[in-house]
Amino acid sequence: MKIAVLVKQVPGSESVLPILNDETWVDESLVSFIMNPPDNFAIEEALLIKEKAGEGEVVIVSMGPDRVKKTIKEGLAKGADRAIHLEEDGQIETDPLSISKSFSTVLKEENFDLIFTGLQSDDTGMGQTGVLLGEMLGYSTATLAMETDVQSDSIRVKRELESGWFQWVKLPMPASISIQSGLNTPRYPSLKGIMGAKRKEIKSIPVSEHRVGSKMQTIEKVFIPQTSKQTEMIEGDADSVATRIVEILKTDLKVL
Amino acid sequence: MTDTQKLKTISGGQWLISPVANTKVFCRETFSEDHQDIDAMIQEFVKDRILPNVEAIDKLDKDLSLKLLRETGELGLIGVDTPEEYGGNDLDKITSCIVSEGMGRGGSPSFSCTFSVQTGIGSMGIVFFGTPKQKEKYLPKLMTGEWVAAYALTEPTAGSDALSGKTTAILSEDGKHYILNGDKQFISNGSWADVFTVLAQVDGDKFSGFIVDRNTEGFEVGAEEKKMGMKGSSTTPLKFTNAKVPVGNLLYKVGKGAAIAFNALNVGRYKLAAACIGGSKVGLEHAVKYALERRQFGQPIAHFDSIKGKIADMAVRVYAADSMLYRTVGLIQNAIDNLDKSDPEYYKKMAEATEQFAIEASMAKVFGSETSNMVVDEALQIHGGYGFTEEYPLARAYRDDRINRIWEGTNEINRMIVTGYMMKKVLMEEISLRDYLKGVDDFLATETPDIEADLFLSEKSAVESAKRLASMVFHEALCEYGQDLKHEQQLSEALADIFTYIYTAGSVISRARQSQSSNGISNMSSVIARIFTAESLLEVKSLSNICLNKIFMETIPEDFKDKVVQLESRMTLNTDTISLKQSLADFMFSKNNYPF
Ligand SMILES: Cc1cc2nc3c(=O)[nH]c(=O)nc-3n(C[C@H](O)[C@H](O)[C@H](O)COP(=O)(O)OP(=O)(O)OC[C@H]3O[C@@H](n4cnc5c(N)ncnc54)[C@H](O)[C@@H]3O)c2cc1C
Repeated sequence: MKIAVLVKQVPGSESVLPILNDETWVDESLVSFIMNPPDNFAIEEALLIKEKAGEGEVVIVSMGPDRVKKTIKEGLAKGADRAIHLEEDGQIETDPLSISKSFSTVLKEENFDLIFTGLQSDDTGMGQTGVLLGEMLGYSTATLAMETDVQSDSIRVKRELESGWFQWVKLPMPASISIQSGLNTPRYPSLKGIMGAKRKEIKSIPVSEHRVGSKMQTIEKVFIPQTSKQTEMIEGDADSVATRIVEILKTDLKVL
Repeated sequence: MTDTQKLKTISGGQWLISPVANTKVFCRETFSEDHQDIDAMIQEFVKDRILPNVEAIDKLDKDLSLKLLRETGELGLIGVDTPEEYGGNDLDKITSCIVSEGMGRGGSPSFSCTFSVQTGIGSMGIVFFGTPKQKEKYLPKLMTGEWVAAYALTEPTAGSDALSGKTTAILSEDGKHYILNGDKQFISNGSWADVFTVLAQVDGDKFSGFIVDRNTEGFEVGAEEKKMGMKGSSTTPLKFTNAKVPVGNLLYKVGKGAAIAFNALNVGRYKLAAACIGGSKVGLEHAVKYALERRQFGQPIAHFDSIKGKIADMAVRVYAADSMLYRTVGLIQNAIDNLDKSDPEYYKKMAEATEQFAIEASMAKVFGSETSNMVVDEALQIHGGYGFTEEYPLARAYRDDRINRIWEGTNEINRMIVTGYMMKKVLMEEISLRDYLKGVDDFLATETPDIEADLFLSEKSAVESAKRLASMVFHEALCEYGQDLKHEQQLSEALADIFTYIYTAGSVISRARQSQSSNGISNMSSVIARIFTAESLLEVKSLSNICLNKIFMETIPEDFKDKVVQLESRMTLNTDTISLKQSLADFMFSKNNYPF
């Protein structure tokens, strides 16, 4: 069983987020980065599957500038076997299609049985990479797995639907699956793991060898949401006041 | 380098007569990547696993505490510096301090105690002095937390006077057992432990160590103490009534108990300092956050200058304690790195290398525990009446912290150790105090002594003068009292404090100097170094005066006094500490945590 886990490094929730003057991204030199929390669950699920099978390989795959090595090492320290680092320099790519193309270029040679991603990255929150990559590689895909059950050449996953509904689906392998947060308890890296991580292989792929084609999507503007207080005095007779309130609840607040 | 030179550079106390801050010291900023990763891991662990359980642990929940202990075992934290062959990770002493400090940040000193007895005094005797067979039998299970460890030195009549224990061990007639009789007092992990390292007198006067299994016939664990704090840690007496301990459980050799006991203490002292510093950082963060939230007179209390002063005082003190602790552990690790690992006596030599820095370990213990003491007190004060309630974490922290000035040797005893060892080193001429003092006249004759000019030129010059003043005072004390100085305890304590201020000021300046770059943190490190140096040299000055008035019975000879006055005037910095503290506090508030 060969499992790739796509892991991203993102700004920590307690980090400052100063926006660049050109308003296209945050000033990364001031940001403190962490492993994208949902990816932590994906790593744990992969490690559990490998441990249960008693064989196999878990490979951390991450794209980004040199700083992401820290996150890669964290994955290796938790027990992944090796890593692939898709290097980037300058501003990081944010277009999910371009990102997926990079991953597919590098990963098609590897013939993974499973590719896991977190349900989304906490920076841009697109949640598309796993599905796009699966399509590009011709893998079966599923999102929001809450439970996994690996069988001989297929995997069953319990997917979260809307309004408390669930669905079990069976996917032939190879498959690319996004993992719902909270389905397991991610481990901490042990001291042995931390010390052992530096002996594990991190294969670096220069940007020229994975970035293909032009991007389809760019960020136009990053900004802090404006909070504004607007008070509307509803006047008139009881009927028209009630009608207006219902309208607000339906269209503005969308609670009805 | 000759052997004696080598000894001098690797042994403790040399900073008194060496130029201040002209060599690199080990500090947090020189942590390796592994150190940083381990630090991050343990902080995450305590945040997720200890912090949410603080109240439950405090109810003396054995199952919970032991479950958490096993979790630390799984992560390899118990065996951080135990050999790999016995289930440990064989990492350096710096890492073991990072682990202790991390545990200190968990908000549960009780659990921190359970853990540190397990990884420290409870198992260290076996690591350092156990036979291969003993190590094989006990260490792997202790390192996972499957078995719990305790360490029993203290007795009802033998506290500070630890070697005077009355517990006896007599070899049985068939030579198969030692028969133990006596009582132990205040034994941490007592109710929960499976394995006890017990100190007892063989044949009445040969102090020796034993490994005692819980189910030993004739061995009983007494009732839990009702304590002021540390309520989630088990503390009990032990009773031995003709307890039969197999001869194979003798630890090291008959009569070598003191080596076991003191080695455990030397290591325990710097680790305790680490835990105190971890706790202090959390206390300070609570204070910073609360000061920003709490409003009085229409504004956050963080805006009041008095509160700023307190926040800055705490930050300076914690930074200083941190600097001198990691400098000390760096020195110890350096000495250990010089040992040959394949030497069968490696662990015994490690104990000796550690003892070389007994002075610094004791200073770290005293300074660390008095730092946490000051922080819990001031942080509680900033919380006002709410600090006095159990709604906020400071009330518990205040109670829990009080023990730190008592155990691992009371601070009184540790101050005696500092001055006592310094005295020994001077008398053995390991510290060439006399040669150093010969240079004082020349030093005073030069307007600008030869000190490398940098950001801290004034601070370094002032500390150079302070070292000469301290040396003169110390020398006079030794001339006046000789070996009897140890009976002049108030004087010894004042000297210990003088030494500690000088060592710490040097550590702080070195660290701030090493972490200079263009960011705000390093600017604030300089601010801290300037505040700490100015204030601690004022203390040195007043303590020196107290000492001299005693030594010279209120009549200091004129020519001597003349030098003192000159040195004192060079020690007086015109640092505007009040304004510096205002900017330091504003920085702390802008970061909303302890950022160093
Ligand atoms: C919660 C808790 C847990 C503990 N855990 C352990 C443990 O696991 N194992 C263990 O062996 N012990 C343990 N101890 C014991 C602890 O180490 C002792 O309490 C400590 O060494 C002090 O001894 P004492 O209490 O008998 O005080 P005493 O020695 O009676 O001291 C009383 C006072 O006299 C002062 N004093 C004593 N001698 C001198 C002197 N020569 N010069 C000047 N002043 C002096 C002391 O500084 C102190 O202020 C624990 C204690 C507590 C409270």
